[in-house]
Amino acid sequence: MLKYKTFLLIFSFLQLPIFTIAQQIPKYTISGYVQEKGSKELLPGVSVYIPSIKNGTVTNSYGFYSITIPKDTFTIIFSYVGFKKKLFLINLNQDIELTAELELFNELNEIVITDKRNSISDKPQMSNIDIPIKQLKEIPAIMGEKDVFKVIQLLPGVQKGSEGQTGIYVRGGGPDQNLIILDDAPVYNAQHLFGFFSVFNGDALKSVELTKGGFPARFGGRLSSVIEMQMKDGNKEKTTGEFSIGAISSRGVIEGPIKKGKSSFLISARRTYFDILTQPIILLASEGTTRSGYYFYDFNAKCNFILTPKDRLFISGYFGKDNMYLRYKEKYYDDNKYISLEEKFNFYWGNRTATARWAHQLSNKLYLNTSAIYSNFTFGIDLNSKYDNEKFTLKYYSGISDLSIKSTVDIIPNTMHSIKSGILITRHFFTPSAIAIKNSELPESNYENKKGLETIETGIFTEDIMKIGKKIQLNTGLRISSFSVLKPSKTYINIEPRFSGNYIITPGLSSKLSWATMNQYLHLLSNTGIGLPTDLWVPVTDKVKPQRSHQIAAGFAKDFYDYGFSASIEGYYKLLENIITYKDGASFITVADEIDSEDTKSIDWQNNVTQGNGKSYGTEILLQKKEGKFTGWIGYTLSWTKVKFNEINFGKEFFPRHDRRHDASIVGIYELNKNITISATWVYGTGNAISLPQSEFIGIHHNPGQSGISSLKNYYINSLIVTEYGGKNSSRMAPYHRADISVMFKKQKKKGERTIELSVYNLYNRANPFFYYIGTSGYKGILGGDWGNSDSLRQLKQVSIFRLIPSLSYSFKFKN
Amino acid sequence: MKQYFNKFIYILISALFLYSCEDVATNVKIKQVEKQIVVQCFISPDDDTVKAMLSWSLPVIGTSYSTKPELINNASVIIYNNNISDTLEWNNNLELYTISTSKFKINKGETYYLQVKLLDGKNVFANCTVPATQNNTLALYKVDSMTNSWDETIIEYTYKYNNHSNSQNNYYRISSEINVYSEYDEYVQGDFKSKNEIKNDNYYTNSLYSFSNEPIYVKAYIINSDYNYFQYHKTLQNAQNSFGIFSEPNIIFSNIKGGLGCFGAYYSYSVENKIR
Repeated sequence: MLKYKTFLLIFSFLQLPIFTIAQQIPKYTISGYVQEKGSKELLPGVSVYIPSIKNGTVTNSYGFYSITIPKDTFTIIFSYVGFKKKLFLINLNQDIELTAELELFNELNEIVITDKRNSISDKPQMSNIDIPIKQLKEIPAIMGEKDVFKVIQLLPGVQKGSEGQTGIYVRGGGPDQNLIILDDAPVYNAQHLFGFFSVFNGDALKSVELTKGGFPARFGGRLSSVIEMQMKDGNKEKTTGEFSIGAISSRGVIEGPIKKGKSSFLISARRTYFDILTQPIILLASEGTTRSGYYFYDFNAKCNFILTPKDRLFISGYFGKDNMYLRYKEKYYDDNKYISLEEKFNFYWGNRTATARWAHQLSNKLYLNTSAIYSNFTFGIDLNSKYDNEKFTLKYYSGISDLSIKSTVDIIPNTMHSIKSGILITRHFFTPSAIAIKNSELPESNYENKKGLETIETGIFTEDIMKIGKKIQLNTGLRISSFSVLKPSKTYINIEPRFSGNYIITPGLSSKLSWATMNQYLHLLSNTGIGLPTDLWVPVTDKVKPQRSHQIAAGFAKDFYDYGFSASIEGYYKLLENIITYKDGASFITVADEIDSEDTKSIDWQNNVTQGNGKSYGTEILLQKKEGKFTGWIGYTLSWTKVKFNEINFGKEFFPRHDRRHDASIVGIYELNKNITISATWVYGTGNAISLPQSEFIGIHHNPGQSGISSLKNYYINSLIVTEYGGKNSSRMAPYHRADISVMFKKQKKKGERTIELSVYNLYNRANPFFYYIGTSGYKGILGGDWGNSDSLRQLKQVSIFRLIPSLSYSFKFKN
Repeated sequence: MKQYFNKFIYILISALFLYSCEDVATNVKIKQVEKQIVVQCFISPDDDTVKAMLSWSLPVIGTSYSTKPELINNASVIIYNNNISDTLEWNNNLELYTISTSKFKINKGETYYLQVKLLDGKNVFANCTVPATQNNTLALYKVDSMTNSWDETIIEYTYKYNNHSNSQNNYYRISSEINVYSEYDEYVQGDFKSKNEIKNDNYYTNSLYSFSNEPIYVKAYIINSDYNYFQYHKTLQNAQNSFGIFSEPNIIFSNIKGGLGCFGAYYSYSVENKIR
């Protein structure tokens, strides 16, 4: 009891009044976990509802719930999308611990009852969408590679970048403004293959949730969105697994108990094999001298242990890497001897994360989570060459490493309040550029330069989901964030108020309102916006201020219970302050050059960047059906995004590349019978804003010491043909649209379930633009190798990738 | 058979990955522009002549690489300030419009206007203000040289900002003219800095490679300019240095209303040193 009171004092300073309410009728607490029957996987977001008092709660991110009500006899209902509802009759005359096990719907003919507690109109949170993993696996994907980010791109308010890219632009924000969390660990570069695939393997995921606005106080550090993913805990009852063979990669997952009912493990892995398949061609073409290729892999592992009925320990990790490599080996005869030449080149990048989380149930109303988190992103180039006896090595890398401690406590004093408070302390270590050169013949030119920047980021937060009467629910919160740069010393402290709430107009219909202020202390310097690994993460400094956003959103949510679908319409207005970009002409190369200079004071990527402001506003409509034979959604976004930098476009406002007026998506999944599932998507988006050449003219430099403008006759060398674009991003790419379709054939076998999936990406073979360039009528194209005739007329040429692509994949889910 | 099968598989996979195509873009919202008047004129109290170059811009789409932008030689070019007005005449030798500054004086701190009219009625307009004389200015106080391990002669200029002023919005360009008799003669485009970027002590270096033992003359300039001159040259320099298919294009500055180019103003200081 003493422990309970101590935590109340520490963590709920904003909610003190709620504990002063006199308690006349004795109240008791029902608490426990909700888990999946069979695997014992803990289920977050499960509705726990008591019809007689028309009140309830939901399980937290870790599957824990607690509800305190007056002494009574009643029915308690546990329900969750895709699972059978579970009812218990309770005679509550003392505190009860109740763990509920929910069973998955397996049979198609089973009646799926839509429960009102799974409605969106009942939640105070807005601009928040959870993506069922089942849908994630059924939505068609390019080359059969299921990708959580590509599914998120289909949601309203989320814009995609270029064709095939996994870059995510939420409500006008850049890809760096998304907080991507895997089991509490931030992931800094979530992209494989230069952004064509994300690093997350759907086989290992338990839940995916996207928040675009009205951010709860527990989230901070990024401006535009939170993508929170949890890995599966692993099956505690039996060993199961799944493997699949796709067009470009194979993957597998295995999970099972370590000690039955008490602990479990999950391991999943994926690797591409394009390099293995193409190796013989490259060897043949190079007469055996060259091996080169590209691959990526990722590896997820998780263990969890029930230490005592009140203590659980989770250890999870992710390791992924992309590597482009070249090996060259040749021996030739010269100067009366054999000389060997050997070269090895690697261009690699990857993330590593590790999380150890201890969950401790302090009481039936208090749930404590403490995590130690590690996250690392590294991009590097290795070059080793050996010519006869001379050896040369060059190693370059940049990256960011985080070490964090996070502690949160969930306090559920009664049915009117649900409080979450906590603290997160992170030590970031940035290595914007490190280089080491070794030359056996010229030892004097050996060089090593590794400079790092160390910073500390802290967030303290508290939030309370409270009910006011039967009509109003609020999530109010406060986050105090701070960021300290150690050298030169500078500390920023910011207060971030958060609010979201709903007012139930009629059962099933509510209006919602939210406000959030966010600060971001890490910046991503990106030239291209397409998520190359060369993009640099850098911290705020005394010169470069934190980015900040203020977002207000309002809307309506409606549940059509009889038809099993929901609809929402939201309008938002977001102001962005101190957003960062490279100045014209600067790139990671210039930044790296400056970092390599000797003078520490001139480690000045800061001189190559500029800060500005932006705004984004728009309306989003989502019509979603999560249950039944037919599921899917229709999403539409109408939005405007504008940015302004003093040093770009001469201080004039312009549309960033990802500004997109209209964005629409239709996603449908239909279970024809228990063996066949058909799914299809269609997307449409206004073309990106880009700068396209309009005209050219002769630009003349003034030469110092000369009088005014030079004559072309005498000083032609000081002139150049320059291109005029009519202002920054004044043109638009062609609209993007595409349809994909997939059919999954499942078959129950003796040892498990076999699935064959046939999918077609870009069904009607639309040539969507990837980029444009100026060519001529005689020019055969970048791939053609014919540079054309200089007298031919110039044309704007469009390069498209990913036209109609059929693919076939095979997977087998085995049961022990 | 197996051999053919393997070939087929490799071709199939390769085709999938190189599955890109090119075509003429037809449904792109690109502003179709007509040719525009381009004016380039930089005025200075130091100069003996005001010169303006007039040319046409060339629409990119529908023209060829071999088509050269044309000069304009039949325009009426008028320069004026609040007191007087005069006309720049076509100089066939220079292919520029010119007027002597003994006839039309350029003064520090004054605003000038330039109007260009063509016979068909098309006209463009611009104005600029010559920076006023300042007591607080940049001073170049040393030009030095050294030889590095690659036998390059490194020229180093040291300049200093005196009496930092907050009252004026100044723009600077640090440039130089290097001359090695019979071997080398070039202008270095230089470094562009606005007042906020100037520190109290600044070093600017440039290197040149010289085989001979002939004398090297370096004349270093500090140009104090208006915003138009500064931005135009800075964006020209960026355009010259940029490359890459994914890099953002450089937008060229213009203050010519109704056209393209720049009407800017400057004055300069210089120091000349014989460094070998």
